[in-house]
Amino acid sequence: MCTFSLQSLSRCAPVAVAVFIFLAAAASAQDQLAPPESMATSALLKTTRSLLESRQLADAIPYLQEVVGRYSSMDGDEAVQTRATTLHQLGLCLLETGDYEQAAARLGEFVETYPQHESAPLSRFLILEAYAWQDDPAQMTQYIERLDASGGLDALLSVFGREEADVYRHAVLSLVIAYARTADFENMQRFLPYCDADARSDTGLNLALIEGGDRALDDEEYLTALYLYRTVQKTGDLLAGYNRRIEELEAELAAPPPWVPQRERDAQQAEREAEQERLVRLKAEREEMAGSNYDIDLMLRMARCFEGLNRYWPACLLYRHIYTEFPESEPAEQCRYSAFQSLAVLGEPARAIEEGTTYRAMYPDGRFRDEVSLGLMHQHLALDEEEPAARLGRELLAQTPIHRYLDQVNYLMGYIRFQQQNYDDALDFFQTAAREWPNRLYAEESIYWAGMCNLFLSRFDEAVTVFKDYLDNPAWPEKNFAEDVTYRLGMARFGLGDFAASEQTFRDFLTRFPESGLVSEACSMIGDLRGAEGDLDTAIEFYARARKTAVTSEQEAYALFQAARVYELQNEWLEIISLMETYLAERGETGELAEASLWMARAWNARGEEQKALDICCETVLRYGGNPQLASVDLLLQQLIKESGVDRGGAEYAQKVLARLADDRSAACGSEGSRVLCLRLTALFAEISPDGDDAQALLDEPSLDGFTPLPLLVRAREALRQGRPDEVDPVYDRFMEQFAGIDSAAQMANLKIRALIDAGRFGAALSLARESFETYSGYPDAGRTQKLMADALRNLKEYDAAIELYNEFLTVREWRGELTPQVIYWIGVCRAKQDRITEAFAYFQRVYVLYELYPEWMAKAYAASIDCLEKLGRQDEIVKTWREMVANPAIAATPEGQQAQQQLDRLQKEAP
Amino acid sequence: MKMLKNSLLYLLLSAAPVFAADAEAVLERARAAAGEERYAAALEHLAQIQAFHYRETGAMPEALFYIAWIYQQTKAPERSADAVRELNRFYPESRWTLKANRDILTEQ
Repeated sequence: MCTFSLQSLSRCAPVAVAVFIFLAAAASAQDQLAPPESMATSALLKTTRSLLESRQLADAIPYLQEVVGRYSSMDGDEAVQTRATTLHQLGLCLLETGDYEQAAARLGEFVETYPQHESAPLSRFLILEAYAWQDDPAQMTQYIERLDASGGLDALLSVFGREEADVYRHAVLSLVIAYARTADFENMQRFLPYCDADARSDTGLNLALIEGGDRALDDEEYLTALYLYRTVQKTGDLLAGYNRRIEELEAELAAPPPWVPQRERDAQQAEREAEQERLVRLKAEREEMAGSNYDIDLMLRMARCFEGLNRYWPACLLYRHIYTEFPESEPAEQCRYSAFQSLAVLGEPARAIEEGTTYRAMYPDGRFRDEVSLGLMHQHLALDEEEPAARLGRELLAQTPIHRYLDQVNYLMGYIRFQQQNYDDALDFFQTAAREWPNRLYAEESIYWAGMCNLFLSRFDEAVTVFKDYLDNPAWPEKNFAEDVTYRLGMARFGLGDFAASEQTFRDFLTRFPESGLVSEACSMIGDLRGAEGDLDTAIEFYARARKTAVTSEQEAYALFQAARVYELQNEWLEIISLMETYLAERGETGELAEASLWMARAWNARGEEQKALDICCETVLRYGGNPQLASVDLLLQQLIKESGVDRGGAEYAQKVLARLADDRSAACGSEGSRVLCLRLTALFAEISPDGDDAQALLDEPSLDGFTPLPLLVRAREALRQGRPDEVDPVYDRFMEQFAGIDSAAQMANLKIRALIDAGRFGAALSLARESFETYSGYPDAGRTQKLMADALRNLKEYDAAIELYNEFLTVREWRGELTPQVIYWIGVCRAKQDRITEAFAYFQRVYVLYELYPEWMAKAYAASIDCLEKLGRQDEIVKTWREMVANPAIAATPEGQQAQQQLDRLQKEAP
Repeated sequence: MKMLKNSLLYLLLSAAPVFAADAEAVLERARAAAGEERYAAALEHLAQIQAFHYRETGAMPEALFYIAWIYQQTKAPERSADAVRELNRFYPESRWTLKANRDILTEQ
């Protein structure tokens, strides 16, 4: 009996339904048969008939063959009829006994010789069935096409419209089953419409469809498999079919048997008993079907087809449907895991995390626990959620039983730490992954990254060892990182100071990897090395080669400006001008406008052509300044501002800039189509002109349309200066919407943090400062962000935390400058707030002793130190401090200095 | 009385699970999402047709046409061609197949 367990699908092969026209009353088989060739023809026919009646089909075959042979040369209607019938019977017997090739041949011979015979239409079906059982779709298709071309197919199919079509019902079902089983979807579809509802719900057909689908799935014919599975009837349809057949059978058995002659009574009784058995079997099958996971198995198969077709959305929906509708079923757990995987492949990390997290909660010891947890780390990283990924990673490293993919967990932890620039920890993880699991997937990658960590930690010796060992390691004959590692080895040797070896490594790299995307960078490195050796001509050659082989604009620009530096050493100013002119002509708006223009300006200045230098910069601004997308124009303007000196309008150069651009500015601001250029020039004027109206004009602009980085920065600064911090919000939003990726974005973020602090929104300021510090950690303005972060903490009265950040600021050499006295002053303020007056006093004292360049902060520090002295009861020192303040004219001019003078005056008046 | 009978009949009909109507609603959501260039969402809707409404011979070819179209828009010509091939193989007579052959294959 066929079972509904699809996992153990047995071959419920339908056998060809033979309509034995000879079949009449049963006759006993003969025990001893004489060889057919020795028999007389009449005895031969009698024996053959007897064997067929007793269904000894295999035994009947040689006798049938003998009959066909003897009658082949006979004439006369009766002889022809006997030969035709025997040939047909021979085909049927061969089919029944599984000799499909011979069956197809004999039945083919029959329909070809006797095309008008009444059994010819059925035989055509049976030929197809024989082909189908031979698993030979090509022959089947050829045969159908032959029939089709000769018009025979229509004749074949037309029998279904006739009343006697019942005769063929079983035949067509068998044919369809055979096609389904061999995954011949197209031919199956051709005949499927001729299957009625009973046939469609036939168990054999549906199991054959699944078998065919499985076969196609194994052959990676996913679409064929999918459509075969889709043709399978679902449980509800199949149960309806069972109910219908059971009802019909019950009605038939309930009716009294029709009268038959006495000699047929036994046969009738046997038939009724067989029908009764069939009824019992059908009911049992129905019960089994009702309690099976048939639909779930079918959906799982379809989901696998979708996965094979890289259609993960329908696969995911099917998995979710199964675990939602059948949560207690055995496949529910696997479906949750598969849905998680599908979402991961679909690039839906947030939804995948939700799915994976639910899996872990529902199945803490589930079969896919380790796969899901590792996948979750990946998904967090896909969302740049490094901390949740790291948290999970730490949990997995400590997990018992040991995580199955501990090598990958270590690798990912290394990756996270590397991203967080924690190279020491990253190195540990990568080394562990490579050492503990040298044969696993990530070993090679881990070694590469371990070398990179050493490089980033400036442990060049170790980096050279790791990279060299990797290149010499025979474990990976096909090295995935050979190209990159060779380049990095050159870098490590450079860092180590082994310049000859470094240059040789880069030269080897160029020989071994001439198509690499790093060729330009290797050429630039050789240029740098040759330049350092004073071999400037060779350096220039390599920079030219680097520009030629550049695959990114950064590579080209690096080589270009390095070449300019070499020319600068050679005082080859015209070469620089020519180089930059060519570059700007070729790259235009897509090039590094600001830096190229500044190099040209520098070259003209060096030649004593100051006006030409200024003209170059101004012409670039005027030429490209109308394009709001070109943030490099703003960069150039910022450079002009820097060169114009910090004291507004005081510098001669500033005056020249104002004079050179005054008319252009008037023209731009007078023209409706030049708003962007007008705003840029107004911002430039606001920064270098003594007139404050320009900044006010930018602040008064009703719309931010056309505002580029510099005008936005000037507007935000002006708003802050005027105590209107709320007006910074839209400016910041606009900036981040359009220019978040440029260097001055860090400046903009700092202005916003300042605005939040000024507005008393210290928590928001702290949060933004932290976010900004992470985003722009390598930018020059990061120091200011660090200070603002500390300022926010100080305002939140978290003095220890604030002091910690202020102290961190002081340790970074690059951040030293105008902010340093402020930071020291604020540490003093924090200590004073903590009533650690002596310490506070020391900090204030440090400011006014060491930072004379910053009188504003010296004055504040003096004033704060006087407060400390009062609290410490050191009155004598207060007077001394006042005197010290007024003795310094810069301090005396400050409000604190004036107050000191007033105190001294008061003392003098009070003195006797 | 007749009115009441009609109302009951209407209620019965509207409460019955009408598969085709479901498929059409899903297609409508997919069309709307695709129209707003929310292609990932559109593909998610169309996946419902592929997973659950595949017996709707009208819905499947239309869904496949949109899949082909979306992949064409998102510059995934191989996937687009896969969907058109599926249409030609399994729904050769559908107007969506003709439309795909005309509008999508021609452009590719």
